[in-house]
Parts: sequence; structure tokens; C-alpha cells
Amino acid sequence: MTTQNPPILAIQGLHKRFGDLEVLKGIDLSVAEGEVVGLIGPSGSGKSTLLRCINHLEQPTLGRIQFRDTVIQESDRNINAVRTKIGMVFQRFNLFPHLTALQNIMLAPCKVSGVPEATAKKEALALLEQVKLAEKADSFPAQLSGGQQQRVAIARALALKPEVLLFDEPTSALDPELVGEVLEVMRDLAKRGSTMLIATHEMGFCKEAAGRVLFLDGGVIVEQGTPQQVLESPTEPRTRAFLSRVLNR
Amino acid sequence: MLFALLCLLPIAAPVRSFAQNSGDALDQVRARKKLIIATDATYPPFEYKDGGKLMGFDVDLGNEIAKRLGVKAEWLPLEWTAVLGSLEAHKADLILSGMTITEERKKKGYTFSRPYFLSGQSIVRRNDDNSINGLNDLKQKTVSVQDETTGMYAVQKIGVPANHIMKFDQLPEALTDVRNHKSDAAVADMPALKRLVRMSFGDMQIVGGIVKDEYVGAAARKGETRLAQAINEALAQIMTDGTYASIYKKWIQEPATTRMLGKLDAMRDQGSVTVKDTEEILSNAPTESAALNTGKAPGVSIRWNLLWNARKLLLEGAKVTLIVTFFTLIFGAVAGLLIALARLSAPPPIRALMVFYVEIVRGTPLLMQIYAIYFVLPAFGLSFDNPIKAGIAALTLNAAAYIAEIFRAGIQSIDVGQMEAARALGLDYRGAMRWVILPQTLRRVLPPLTNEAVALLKDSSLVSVISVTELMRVGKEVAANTAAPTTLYLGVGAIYLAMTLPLTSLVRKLEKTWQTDAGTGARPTRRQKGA
Repeated sequence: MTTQNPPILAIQGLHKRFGDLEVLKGIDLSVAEGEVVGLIGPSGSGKSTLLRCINHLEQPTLGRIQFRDTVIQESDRNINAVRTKIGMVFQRFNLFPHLTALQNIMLAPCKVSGVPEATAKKEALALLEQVKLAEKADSFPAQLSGGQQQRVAIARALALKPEVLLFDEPTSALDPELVGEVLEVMRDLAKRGSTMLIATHEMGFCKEAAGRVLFLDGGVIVEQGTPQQVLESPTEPRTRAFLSRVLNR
Repeated sequence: MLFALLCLLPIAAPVRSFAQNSGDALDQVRARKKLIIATDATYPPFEYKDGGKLMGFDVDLGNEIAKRLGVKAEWLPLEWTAVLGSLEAHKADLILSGMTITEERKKKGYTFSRPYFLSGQSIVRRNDDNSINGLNDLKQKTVSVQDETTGMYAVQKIGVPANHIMKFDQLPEALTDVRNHKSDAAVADMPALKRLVRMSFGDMQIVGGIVKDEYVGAAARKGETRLAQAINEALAQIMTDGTYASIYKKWIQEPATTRMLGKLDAMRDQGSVTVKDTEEILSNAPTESAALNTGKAPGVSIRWNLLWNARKLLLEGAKVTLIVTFFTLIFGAVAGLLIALARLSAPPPIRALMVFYVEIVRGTPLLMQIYAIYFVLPAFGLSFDNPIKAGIAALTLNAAAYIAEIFRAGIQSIDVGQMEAARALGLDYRGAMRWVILPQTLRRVLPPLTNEAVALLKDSSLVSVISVTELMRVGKEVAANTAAPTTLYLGVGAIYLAMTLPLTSLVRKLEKTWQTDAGTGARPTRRQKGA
């Protein structure tokens, strides 16, 4: 949790307000390279908003977000460059339905980074291999199961070789029997040393794969620490209440 | 409504100043060596089309007049109401269209030549209806007329209430209305009526003879007295050297009588310009008046042979309809897409402008837009050298607004997650539109776009009013020539159907395909939670 290296991501005093509703009320967070951070908390606690602010899908109302040496700003050039370094996986996959799995993965390398098509294709096939979907390269999203779609979406997020990966409840839209295959891919990524921020309700996965767990409630970080500290012996009553609700479901 | 009027205000003002600055028509005619004559080619025997060729009394006369002015005649066939507007819009120099000289028309700003034809209004009724034998019998009846003709004025004058006057674009339609017992009688020019009864309305007869003498003249634009004077001189020559008599014999199929020619000469000052030198126009014309010839004609039925004989013309018209529809669709789709994108992402002032444009187009009749393009835009120096282009332009302006709405709805129907995923990958807004949103939109809008194409194909018939000889116009012309509107309109309808049916079945097919591969990529299952 404490590290000598400068953080890859540093967030200070982040506020986000939607009209009258303040969703984030001052978040400070720094993430070290190679760290896997689990974000837990009730619905509406601000987990997704926090992730979406990091790559500016939502404009922060207040606060500062720094990615390595770059302060993430409004300007389009800045934000597009930063976004290629920060991959994002959505709850509802958001694959492009008019493109095959392979084409979904190749789009950003070809159109954003200008990678030659042959190279992009080779790398995309390797990524499909990594998520164990090599045989589905030419399938359209509608022909894939939810779990397969989410694995393609992860491969798509990896295509630009990002330095940070954001997962916004990646298994919440899946049937229970399909959750495992997605978590397996994510576990593999964690082992490879990827820096990941994961908003999730999968406590078991957090315990096993995360180096640090943050409990968010009401737009603030209520408690944070190792998975053992937060999940097994939480000090805050709100954390305890949440965990007992989730675990006794 | 106020909105639309405000928008038309700046358009209306410059038109007048343009007309005033235009100079002398006679000099223009001589400079370009062309006399442009507007006519409604659906009014036999004065002017009509046979086998696609414009002909008739006025056409021969107009060509002779041009010859004597030392220029060539160029004919501009339009709908009658458009003919009336063609001078002020500087589309034509002269109207030769069986146009009766009246004080009202003079007041409206037409400069008439001396009369060149003695005509008169007559009444036609069904053979079996003995209750109508003269003008006074019409007061309690329903009377059909051709819109904006002296026949209509005559009926109005004897006090037939407005809701008992049925107005039609063309005379055969007015007579068909009588045949169908919707009206009791029709009032129109005697020569035209005679021809129609002879050709296909044998179940009707002309009663009461000529109700009122009428003098037909050529009309020039307001203030163009020099042109009118030159036309008068040409007419005087034509009427004295025997040319007139032979044209008359050819088209009216009677000799021009001395009595008639005498009347025409006596009324030489009937036009807007006083005839200075009196020429003797009484030639060696026979004095006998030929009897009315109301021969037998076929009854009420579809005349298939007419359709068969006109097949080449009709198919030619259908081709023009397809060409107009095709180009309108292409241009309209491109413009519509740009408008839709501007409405979604351009700066607010441009966005507002696009909304304004779409609302204007959707809130006004297409017919008005077509007239505006054809008659108003030339005042700004924006003119089309050929009516097909003007028609495509007008239809495109219209279709673009509707297609823009289709695209806008299509783009907005794409899940926001698609834009977010594209942006999260580092694509800019343009790239996301180009590679992610629009390809999906295109699939979704294909069925409504095809529907628009069907609507467009049918709406393209409206450009017939600005003389585009598309299918509807050809149908009208052949109907006028053969005096068989029922047959022709049924035939034209069948051809339209033959063109639209494949399109509508295509829509159905597209909708089916779309339903089967409509995966949005996200199949949310039990738990859907946002944070």
C-alpha cells in the first residue's frame, strides 16, 4: 500500500455532482504500479463514478487527477492520449455489434494508434488466445454468450497496451455460471502484474486477487486496507453492515 | 404560422425590385434570338401534346409570330396556374395559351396583344338532362369548370354559389365530373368543348350555343408595350396573308368566316395596346359558318388501346420519375446526414438554424416549396437551366429535412454505451461517429429510408407543375389529348404501384433481417446495477 515509487495514478479532492446530487464528496487515492485495487460498496456509493471520472467519461466537478506526469484535463488531445493508456471494461460489455470479435479488438490500434492492419490482427489474435476465445475471432457479439462477450471486451481494452485497467462491475450483468470465466481472465491479468482498479461485488475475488480494498459509501472512502483487514475485520460500523448484507444474501 | 411568414418576408421583397429593373422584353428577345412562350399543353385544340410533340393552334401561331420577329420560338409547357405566374417570374416572355382578354386580367398586369381568336363560353350537359338549356338554368345547379378560366368567371358572374362550382385542373376532368353526376353541367370554351364531345364525351351535348363572345390574345408582362406592339404587327401580317386562315382550318376543322374575322378586326383595340394602323384583315374567307359536329363517341369504359398506344410516352415519364427520385434520394441522404450531425453536435447557433430549417420544411406544403424554388429563387440570381434540376433541387430541400430526422432518431437510438466505449478507447468524437455510431445507425435507418424513398417517388409527381415531364405530367398530357382521364389516371396509378411495390417489399425484408441480427452487444440479464 505504501510504496517508494511515484504512484501511477494520483487523485486528490475529487468531487462529482450531478445536479443536486453529490456522488463523490472528496476522494483521495493513489495507486502504485502493479497494484490491484478492489472498490466495494453499496449501489450508488460512487464506485462507477469514480472510475468514469478517471478517464473523463464524467467531468469531475472539483479535484485533480494525475496519470503519471500528466494532469488529466478537459482538452480533447490530452484526454484522447490519456485514454489510450487507460483501458476500461464496462458492466454491459459495450462491444460494437456490427464488428466481429477480432474487429472489435483491432479498431482502436488501427484507427487511434495507426498500427498496420496485419500487425493489429496478429496482436488481436494473441489477445483472443489470452482470453481463451481464439476460435470466436470471426463471431459477432450477438453470437457470443455474456461471459464470452465480456472476455472479448477485456481483450479490446488490452489492445492498446494500457498501463491501467478500469473494471466497472465487470460481472454484474452476467448469469452466475458465466462469472467464473471472466474472473479467471482477470486473475490472470493480476498475476501478470497489471495495474487494475476493479469495482465489484465479488468479495471472494477481492480477497484473493486484490492487494488493497476500498470501501466506498455516500461518496467517500469509509475504510481501506488489505482484503483481510477490510473484509474480515472491518473497523467501521458501515463496512460491517454492508458486508453482512452482502455475505448473507 | 407566424414563423413561416417571417421567413418568407425577406424572400418576397426582392422579387418586385428584380421585376422592375428587368428592362425591355423585346430587346431581350431580339438579343437572345429566342421568344420564350409559356403554355398549358393540356388544352386541345389550342395546345396539347400528341406522341410527346407539342402542337395546336397556338403553337403554329406562336411559331409564325416568332418567325416574323426574326427569332425562334421556345415553348415552355406548364400547368395553367403556373403559366399565369410565368411572366412575373421571368420564366417566359409571352403567354399563348388560349387566354381570354379580360379587364380583370389587364388589371392584374397582363399586357395583351390584339385578339387573335374569337371564342366563347358554352354549356355542356348530359344528353338525358333536359333541365339545362341555357345560362339561366345553371343558377340552381352544380357546375364544373377549369380553374381560373373565363368559364369559371362566367359561372361566378351569374351567381352560382362558390360551393356549387367544381374547379378542375383540366377540362376532361370537369366533363368526367358531369358524366359521373357529381356536377350537372360544365362551362368552357366552345372549341375545346366541341373537340372533347366529338372525341370521347358522346354522352353529352353542347346546349345554348355561345353564351358570350370572348377574345383570345397573347399576354406579355406588365409594361411590355413594345413587345405587345411587335406581336400586334406580326399578328396583322399573319391574319392578312392567309397564314391565319390555314392554321384555323387545320386545327378548328372549319373555315375561318368573314364574320368572325370582321369581329376580330373590329375588336383590335380590345388588347392592352391600341392598334395604330388599321390593316384590312378581311381576306377571301368563306362566309358560311360550319355546323357543329357532335358525332358519336365511345361510352364510359377503360380504353386499353389508349394506354397501349401511349406506352412509350408513359414509360419515358416513369423513367424521369425514377431519375428525379434517385438523385433526390442521393442528395437528400447526404444533406440529411449532415443536418442530423449538425443538430446533434454543432455549436448552438448552427444547431438552431438546422432546427429552424427542418421545421420550415416540415411545416409548409411541398407544392409551395416547389413553386418557391422555381419562381422565387431566380429573383436572387439562382436559376436552373432545366426544370428537372429545379425539381430535384426542390425535392432535395424537402427530403433532406425528413431524412435528417430519420438519421437523428437513428443516431439517438444507439445505446450511449457505444459512444462511451469508443471514447474510452481513445477515439475522438468524429472517429467514434465514423467507426462505431454511424455504421450501426445506417442499418437501423435503412427501413425508414426506404419508406421515405417510396413517399418521395409519389411526391415527385408534384414537380409536374413546373413542367417536368415525369409520369404524372405525361399522364395529364395524354389524358388531355385523348380526353380519357379515367383510363390514363388508372394506368398511371398502376405504373406508380409497379415502381413502389418492389420498394415496400424491400422494406419488409430489411426489417426482418434487421430484427434477426439486431444484437446490441449487451444482453443485460438478472442484475443490472449502476454505481
